[in-house]
Amino acid sequence: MKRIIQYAVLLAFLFISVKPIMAAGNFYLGLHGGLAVPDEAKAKDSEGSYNIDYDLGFDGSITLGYNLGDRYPKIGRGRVELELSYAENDLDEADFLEGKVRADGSVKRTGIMVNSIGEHRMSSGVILYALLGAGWAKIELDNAIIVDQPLADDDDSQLAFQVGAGIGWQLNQRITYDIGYRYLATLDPDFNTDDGKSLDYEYGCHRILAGIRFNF
Amino acid sequence: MQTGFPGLLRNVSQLRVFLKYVILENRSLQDIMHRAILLHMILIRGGIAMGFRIILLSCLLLLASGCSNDDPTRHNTFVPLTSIEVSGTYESMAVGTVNQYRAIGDFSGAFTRDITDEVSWSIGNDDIASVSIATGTEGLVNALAAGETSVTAMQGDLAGSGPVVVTEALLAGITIMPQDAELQAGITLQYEATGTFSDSSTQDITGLTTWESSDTAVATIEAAAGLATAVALGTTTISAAWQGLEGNAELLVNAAALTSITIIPEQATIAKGTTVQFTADGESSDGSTQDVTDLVDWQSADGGIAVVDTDGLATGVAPGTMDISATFETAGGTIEDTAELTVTDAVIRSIVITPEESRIVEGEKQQFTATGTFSDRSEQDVTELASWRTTDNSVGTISNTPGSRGLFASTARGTTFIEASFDGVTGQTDIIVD
Repeated sequence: MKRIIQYAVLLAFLFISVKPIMAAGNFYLGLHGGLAVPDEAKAKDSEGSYNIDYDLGFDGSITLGYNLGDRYPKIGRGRVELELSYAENDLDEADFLEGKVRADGSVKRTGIMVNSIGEHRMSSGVILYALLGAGWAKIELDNAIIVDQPLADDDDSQLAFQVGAGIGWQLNQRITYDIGYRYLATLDPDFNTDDGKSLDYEYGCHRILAGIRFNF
Repeated sequence: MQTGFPGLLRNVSQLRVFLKYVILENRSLQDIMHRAILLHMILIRGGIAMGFRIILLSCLLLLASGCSNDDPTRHNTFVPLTSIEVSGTYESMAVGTVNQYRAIGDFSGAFTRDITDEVSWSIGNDDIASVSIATGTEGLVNALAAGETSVTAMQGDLAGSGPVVVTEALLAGITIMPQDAELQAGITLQYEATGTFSDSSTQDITGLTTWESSDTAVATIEAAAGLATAVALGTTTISAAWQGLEGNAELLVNAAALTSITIIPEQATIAKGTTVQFTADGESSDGSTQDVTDLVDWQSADGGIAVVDTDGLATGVAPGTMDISATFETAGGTIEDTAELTVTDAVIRSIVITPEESRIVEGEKQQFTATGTFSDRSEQDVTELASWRTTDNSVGTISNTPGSRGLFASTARGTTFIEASFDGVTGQTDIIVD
């Protein structure tokens, strides 16, 4: 019961209309979570290339940004934000010339991106946006195993970029709900395998995120 | 939202306003961040009018195309090799002949693979036979004297052996194929020689015989390989000689000239990663036709969609449609035909092996065929693409050698399952050996 009351108070706080601040520029804090759907990864070593497939995974991010609001009508709406994100996917299968075999372990991504977002507000209050971002991502191949044989346990950091689009719904001046799609890819990370070889890897991930932005 | 040229003018106007705002007006330091952000936004905003839809479309394309990757090129060395099976083309061989042995590795029951050129070969008794370790002829056993021994293929700590039986059988006759061939000038023809021995066994001795043409002005032939080339109108006798015996065949070179080529099939549709065999028929001025598949020059119009080898075997690389061409140079110019090949991104869903639930007598062989059904409901023969295995090697073995994949050779009575796997999909049937 106590917990329900806590939730009710929290919801009431979120839905309270506050003094309009969107007319001026404002900072915001965003929290997003959703699905990480990485591309089938191409892994290449001295013996050739094979593909690694993943299970669906979790993707989450926290953003701190600045909303231009209506302050510059001739420029239009938009936002710039700093995004910290984390995603994790378990390895599912590895595909060789002979077919697919089981793979274990996981791939983890920790990224810091600067995103630039252009917005288009519909008369209905729905906000369409498109996003471009660039930054840095650490890709970690964590205890990767192919059919009980260790593959690699290593990480590498690379330049990253992302594009995306989404829909926002401004509940009130304080709260904006957001659902969107982003595709994030990095330059090819390079891992050291357990048998001492170099593994050229590819990383790209479809991100389906939903979240909330708190304007302040 | 304005798009097109008016939108562009609007963006240029916005940029001018912004530059005036930044450069001419003396703003406080508090606006520095705003100005930087505004510059950033203008760069984006300038593209949003027309670019918004482009970005959305790009995202959809990424969704559609970004989920798959290139086909693998690497063998799976993560699954341990658990056994090696060694077998020869012939059960026995006469002194002086050769027998190609192959090593098939079983990798923990997950798949089998021809590892003939990856293992180290040795012979049990080198007075009876020798085995080649030279690149390109690994596993080729040469019979030296009558007797029985074994040939062993070894990789790491694992070894597999096969019997080598050298008989005292003598060569009784040589048969050349084809007999009574007819060619146009400029066309080549591969002859084959089969030796029949005193124990009624037969062996391919094409590479052992010495080949000759009785009239090299009509046709020439490579002495060691048996490849004949028609030169001019006339008739010649092709002969293959070995161990004092000789076989003969007549070769007629006619005056007809090749006038056109027809590729078969004219159109084909295959899934990415699969193959289709094109053949070429040559039509001559006398109305006759002949298979010129090996004589024409095969070309793919777009190697990014499909590639084709020198024998007309095309492999789908990526979705798309393109032409496969076959050309032949004659004295009168170049003759060419094209066929249309469509490569789809369909993926295999199931494999059916035929014949199903077959029954053969011990010692007999059975050729199985694997037919794949793909996600677009199309069907393709994947016999030569699949990896074959039996669940009980004591009943018989199945070939994974290119050209004879799916050929089951029984060795004992019993029942075993036959499996064909391709791209992660496996089909299964059983066979009873009586």
